[in-house]
Amino acid sequence: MQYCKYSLFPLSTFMRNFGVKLKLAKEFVGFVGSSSEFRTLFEKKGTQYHNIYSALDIRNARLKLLGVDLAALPQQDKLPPIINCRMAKGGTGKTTICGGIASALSMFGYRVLMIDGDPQASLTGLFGINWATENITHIGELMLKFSRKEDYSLTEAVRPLYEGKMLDLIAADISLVNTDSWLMGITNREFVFKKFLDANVDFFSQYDVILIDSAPSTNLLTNALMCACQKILAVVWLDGQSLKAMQILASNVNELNDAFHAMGFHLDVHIVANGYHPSYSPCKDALSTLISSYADKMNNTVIPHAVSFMKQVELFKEENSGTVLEREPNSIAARAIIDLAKSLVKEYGIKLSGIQVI
Amino acid sequence: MKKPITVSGLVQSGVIQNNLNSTLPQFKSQSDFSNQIAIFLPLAQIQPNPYQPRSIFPDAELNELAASITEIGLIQPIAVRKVSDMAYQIIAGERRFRAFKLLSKTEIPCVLFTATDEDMAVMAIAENVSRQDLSDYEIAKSIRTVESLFPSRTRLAQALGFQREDMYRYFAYEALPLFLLEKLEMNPRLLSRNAAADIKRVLNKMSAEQSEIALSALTEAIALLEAAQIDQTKIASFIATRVTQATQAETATLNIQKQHFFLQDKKIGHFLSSEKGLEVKISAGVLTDEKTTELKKILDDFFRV
Repeated sequence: MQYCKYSLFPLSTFMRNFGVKLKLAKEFVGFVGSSSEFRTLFEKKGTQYHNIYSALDIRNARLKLLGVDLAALPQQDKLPPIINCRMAKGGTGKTTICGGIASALSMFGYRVLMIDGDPQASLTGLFGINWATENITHIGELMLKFSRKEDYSLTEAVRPLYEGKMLDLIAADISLVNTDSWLMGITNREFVFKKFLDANVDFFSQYDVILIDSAPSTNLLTNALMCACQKILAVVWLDGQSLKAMQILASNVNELNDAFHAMGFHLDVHIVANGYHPSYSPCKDALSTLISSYADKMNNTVIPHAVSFMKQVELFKEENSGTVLEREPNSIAARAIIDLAKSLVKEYGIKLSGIQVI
Repeated sequence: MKKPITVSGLVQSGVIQNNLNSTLPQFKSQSDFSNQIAIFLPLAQIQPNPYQPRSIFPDAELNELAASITEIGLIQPIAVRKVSDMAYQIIAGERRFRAFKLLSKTEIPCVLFTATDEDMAVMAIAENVSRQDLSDYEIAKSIRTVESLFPSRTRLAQALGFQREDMYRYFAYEALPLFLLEKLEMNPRLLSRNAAADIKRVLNKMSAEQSEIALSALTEAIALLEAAQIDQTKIASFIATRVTQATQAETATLNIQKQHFFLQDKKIGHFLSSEKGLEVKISAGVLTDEKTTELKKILDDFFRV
């Protein structure tokens, strides 16, 4: 693969050969000692100087440092935290943030499952998968089969992206748009996705976190994807139009909360500001409005307006696309994504195989 | 490398403001929906309040409550908060919850509220403190468990609506000796906070030699208290009396006496006898060298006998 400067493994279909160099690897592991001490954590790497550390390497190193015996870890039986990237407007950076924090979280050693919940399939495209030519089993199809009690295979629907189940994807294609038509006729349709997760808790509990990339429209599918979460991640682009969309999102969330309050359901919102540019005054005005309105819901990290984000998707060489962390790990954009991912670990209570690491 | 952009950094440097008047539509919080409409929650999903100070729930009381619930139903739903998916914690109503369990019911009417840990602690204590049936020792223990949630003891007292001095009386229990704490665990009503504070004060005043006597006096007093032969308010004075008696017995033979020497109505020294020994002090320049030698000789002869 061309996009990645550092290659680790022989290529398989969509498996990506991503790894980071020493400095970032130390940060991801949270290692404070010397570099030579750090290298001894990795058996196969020996004392070689130029090493590339994959997500799996980092996970194993973290578990080793915690003194955890993998075999002795109890099988998880609870659903992991779900981060649903949602905004009632297109082009605010939902997919960029979703894909970005997914690769960052897996580099922090967490097992990540991404679900592309947008018929535009931009998350699928971000990881270089062409939905037009691929045979894709999307989340709508899985839920349909589940609600009709037909057979379905989650393992076949999931595409591994990083080795060792560190980053998996349930891809989407345009036919996901049909989901609303059959959801219409289902009772308790808002909780179809939640029930689907609960019914497959054995499968989903293998992951430390589930990330969902939602479509901008407010429809039955986006509602169902929200009703399985406790807190959505609203990605707000810093301009007037995006702020206006907060009105739609607020009424959408308030309506769901009102309708299902009696069931003990409550959906919270966490907000991340995207596209900040220091010389654009509307950005500052928008951020001022945002912080004045939702002080206790804002993530402290502000994602900058950066050229690296624009370089994520290659138009004519789709297979070369990748998240900003994969393509430009040392850019200011990647730095913001790493910081955001780190804060979300705390915000959403993401655990390493059930172990809370502080 | 450039510094990452943060909301707090931008606010601090004044680039953005966080106090604009015109704001966007708000997301309603969970408590905005707490419209007092009770919902039925499975008992299995409800846990007691971790800050619950009450440690004993007498069976008789629970049975009585259960009987009244069977007769007329539950008049007031219990208050809960949601802690995670399918898990709730009781804010108020653990007795009702237990009575429902006793009746082998599967669901209980609840009203949902949002509450932080700090709120939970305060609500559990505040609700119980005002009642007669919670002992001071149980209140003290629960204050201790929630203390770390508050930045200072003053804030803790404010949150609980206590006078600061009164709250310190609750803290007096921890200064009591271990044997007494063990007894309090069994019988929390043994000592009130006032009695505990008095005992703490009297124990603190004791010197190292006296503390042994004080402890045995305390043990004796507690035994008397358990036999209902002494009032708990008298324990402190009981100990004090015992200690003074014992010390007086020791020093009876050596009464402290001080006698001053005068020369033309001016104090020039003294003679002091106490339990520490005899002391003769004479100011400088009063005795001539000859007199000093004479005095030394007298003392010398005195010991030579």
